[in-house]
Amino acid sequence: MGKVIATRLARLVATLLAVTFLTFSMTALLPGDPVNAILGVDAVRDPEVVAKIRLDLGLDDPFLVRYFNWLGDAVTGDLGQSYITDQQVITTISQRLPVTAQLAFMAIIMALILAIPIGVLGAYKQGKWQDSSTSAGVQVALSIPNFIVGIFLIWLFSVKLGWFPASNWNRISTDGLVENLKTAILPASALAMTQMAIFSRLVRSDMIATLQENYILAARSKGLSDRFILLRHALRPSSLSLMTIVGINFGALLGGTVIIETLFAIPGVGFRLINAIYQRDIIVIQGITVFIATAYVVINTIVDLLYAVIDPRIRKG
Amino acid sequence: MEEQTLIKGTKMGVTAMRRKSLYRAVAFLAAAGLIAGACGGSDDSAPADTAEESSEEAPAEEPAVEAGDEAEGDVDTAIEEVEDTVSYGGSISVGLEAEATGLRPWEDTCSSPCYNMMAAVYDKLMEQDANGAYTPYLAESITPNEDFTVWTMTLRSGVTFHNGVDLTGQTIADMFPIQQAGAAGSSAISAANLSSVEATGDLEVTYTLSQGNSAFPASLSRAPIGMVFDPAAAAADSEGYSMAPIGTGPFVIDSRDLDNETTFVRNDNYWATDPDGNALPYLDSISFRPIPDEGTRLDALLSGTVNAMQTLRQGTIRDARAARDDDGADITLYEFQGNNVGGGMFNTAVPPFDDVRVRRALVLMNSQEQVIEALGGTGISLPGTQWFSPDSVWWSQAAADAWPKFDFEAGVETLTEYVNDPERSDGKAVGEPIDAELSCPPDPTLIAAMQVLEQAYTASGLVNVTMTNYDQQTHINNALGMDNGFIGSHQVHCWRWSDDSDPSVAINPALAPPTAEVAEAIGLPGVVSPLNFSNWFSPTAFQAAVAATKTDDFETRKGLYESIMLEFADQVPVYYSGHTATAIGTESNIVGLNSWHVPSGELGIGFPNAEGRWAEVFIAS
Repeated sequence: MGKVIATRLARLVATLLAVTFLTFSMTALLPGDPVNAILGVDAVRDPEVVAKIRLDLGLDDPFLVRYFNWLGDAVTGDLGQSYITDQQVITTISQRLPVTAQLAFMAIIMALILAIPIGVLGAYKQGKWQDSSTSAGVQVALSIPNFIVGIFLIWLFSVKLGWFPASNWNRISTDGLVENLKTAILPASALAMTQMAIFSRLVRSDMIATLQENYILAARSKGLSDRFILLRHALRPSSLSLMTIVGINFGALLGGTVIIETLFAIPGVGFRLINAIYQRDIIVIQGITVFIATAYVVINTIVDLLYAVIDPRIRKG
Repeated sequence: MEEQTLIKGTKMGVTAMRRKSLYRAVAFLAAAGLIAGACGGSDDSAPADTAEESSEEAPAEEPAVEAGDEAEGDVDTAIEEVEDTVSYGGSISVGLEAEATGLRPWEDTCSSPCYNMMAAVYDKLMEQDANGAYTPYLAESITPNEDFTVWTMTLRSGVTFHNGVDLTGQTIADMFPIQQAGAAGSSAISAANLSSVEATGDLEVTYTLSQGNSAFPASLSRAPIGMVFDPAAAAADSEGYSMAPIGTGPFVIDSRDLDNETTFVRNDNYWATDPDGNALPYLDSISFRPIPDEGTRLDALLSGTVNAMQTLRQGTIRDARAARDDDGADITLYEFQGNNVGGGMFNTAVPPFDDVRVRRALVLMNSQEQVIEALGGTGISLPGTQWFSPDSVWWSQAAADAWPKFDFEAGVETLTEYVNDPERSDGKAVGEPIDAELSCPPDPTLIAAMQVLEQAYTASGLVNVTMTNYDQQTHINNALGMDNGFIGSHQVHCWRWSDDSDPSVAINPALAPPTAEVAEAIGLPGVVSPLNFSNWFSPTAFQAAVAATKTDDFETRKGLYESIMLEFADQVPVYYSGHTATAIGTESNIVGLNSWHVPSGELGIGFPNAEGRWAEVFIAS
């Protein structure tokens, strides 16, 4: 087991190094000059002012010098300081991560609540109209981009029904849980739609395989009820791959909420990333991208390790 | 809740206001000219003591500007006194198109969302009245010397910052080094040719410019130099100032949740009053929320998530009008169509756009009406012919007449002449189509507008069109060309021109020598403007622009700017779609955006570029 952990951690470090280098390279390759973003389009570009800003930001240093300077700071948790807001990137992330994490968590929970019954029903009624209709619904959910879902939800539940706010975010700390949930429910629902479709397909296919196992036939021959068999004997062994995907998708959602956060004006990590891109705030782009990649890779590694713990065949392999 | 009644002034439509504004503009400038005359530099006027007094005087004869009075599609919401009974109290939230980059006027390069927030917390030294004329605001008066190189300003007394510190002349002087070190301030100081600021009395400040500039008060109405902040607090913690700004404005910062909500509460010690002497502001608090998606922002207003929202998109104005007129949404749209005009530019330093025949041909092929329709601006935006809108005092009928109108056949004929010219500048063989890269930011309406142009150019059979879309910052960078001596890598490039400031603010940098070589050639080494994005340089236009900053005679200045617009029509370094319409939409019980006042009691400029002034906004009962 120790060897497995060491191998995974070595891969993790290598992956993160590659991610930081690629991210730094790509942002360096972006056309233009961050000085322009700082000065604004109407600014008279006094060469002395431009030179001072470039010197202050180290923009004239060679690429590798800038990269290793940044990496040296990054490993100590210092991801730099925004060109535009002067805020530390780590502060920016730490302020926004709870929002994005809550959205991702709610989306996963909502998706699971819908996906498991749908998947179980589809497997239990395989080939029948219940299976066909849920499959069709899932296919539709999978096909519609989440921002389209978001626009529809705003129109229906905000503009027409007036049940939920159309945008922005009420914080638990200042507005309380109920107000917070009012602002979270629509964006989380928009995010949940695709997840629900993925999860329910997975549950359905795993359940179909499980329901063909001999011990299920044995349970049926004992006269156990279908509900008992489905929930106690079939669902649990069918959930292993589901849990894996849930973990991975949670990590993906931390960086995948960009569009929904922008649509609903939610002050999460993704919204700040988009703003940073518009503002050419390179340091923030680098910091958030690396953070998202790190979160994704770390969660994947944890899932890998847990999988290895649960399934000895993987550990041995 | 205390209730007061606002002045029930004469309702004045925008047309009348604009006409009246002309009087005031002339009066203001004439008075400034008289000051120069009193000092021995001018022979065309009688003396006046201060700019504030000057705004009270009317010109002897009616100016000969009738422009725009009956302009079709003129959609501006009237600037007028409100008749509602004013109510104190209440809170509103305003949806903005983006988060403010920061709230430090000397440092943060702002646009419309940012200025909305800053207007709540800061006051400007000068403001524009409903006529567009500059009038003292936090200043009480400002007077130039005869060559406009020294401006003496007297501040209003009894003004304090939110932290209780008094505003004095020394405050303004102490702001100067901070502004010099700031990204926004240093550029503005350079553009204004401002070389020193001294406190010459308790409430007196003397500005010294390296070159005379009769439009200097315009700089004092803009954030980087004109917004007043507490220099001691700014020096102590510049970064913290962006999160907790301290001004003299009507509202005090309460909380700032970046990317989500910034809230300001009533400044109980605010110095300004309404024309009846009632304390301002009326609202208890105001919060601003960045909502970048245009549709969501409008939905947020329609659903009551926010009480007001801004937009700088014609398509959103169209949708908001539909919600109001067709769906019965109970909203008010404060619409404004100022001097900002959309369209683009040709990079005249790059063949074939260095040849006026090519530029003219492409403008002749440009159906502005179709482009405006693609932008969603039919019935909202007026076609542009110059940098001034038809109801501006600077608008020129002659320039409008001279601007090449849509005539596809004439465009083909003109371009054919170039294409068949053996000496054509792009070096291609006779008869070969020209190459043109048409570029806009990736906004859906801009892309639709690009496609209109692309189809027209392609239909001529004389243009190989390539369309590109880069994000806003890259789009700007491509036009700036910091890497190639400010020539840029653009060809036919979407852009917006001008604003509602004094014309010199936008025109002078756009006409200055674009490269060091040009500056050297005309004997002005070092006078290079990166903001001459089209790289078009005309000695006569440049001289006219400079001359317009050396006089305060309105008619002279107007004539100079007209000559520049006529040269634009002749040389076509730029092209136009329509004038940029902007709007602030509010729930219908929120009033006052179009009826705020400058200290003299005159109405202010309103809400240009969807930037509101919030002190006199109230919730009608």
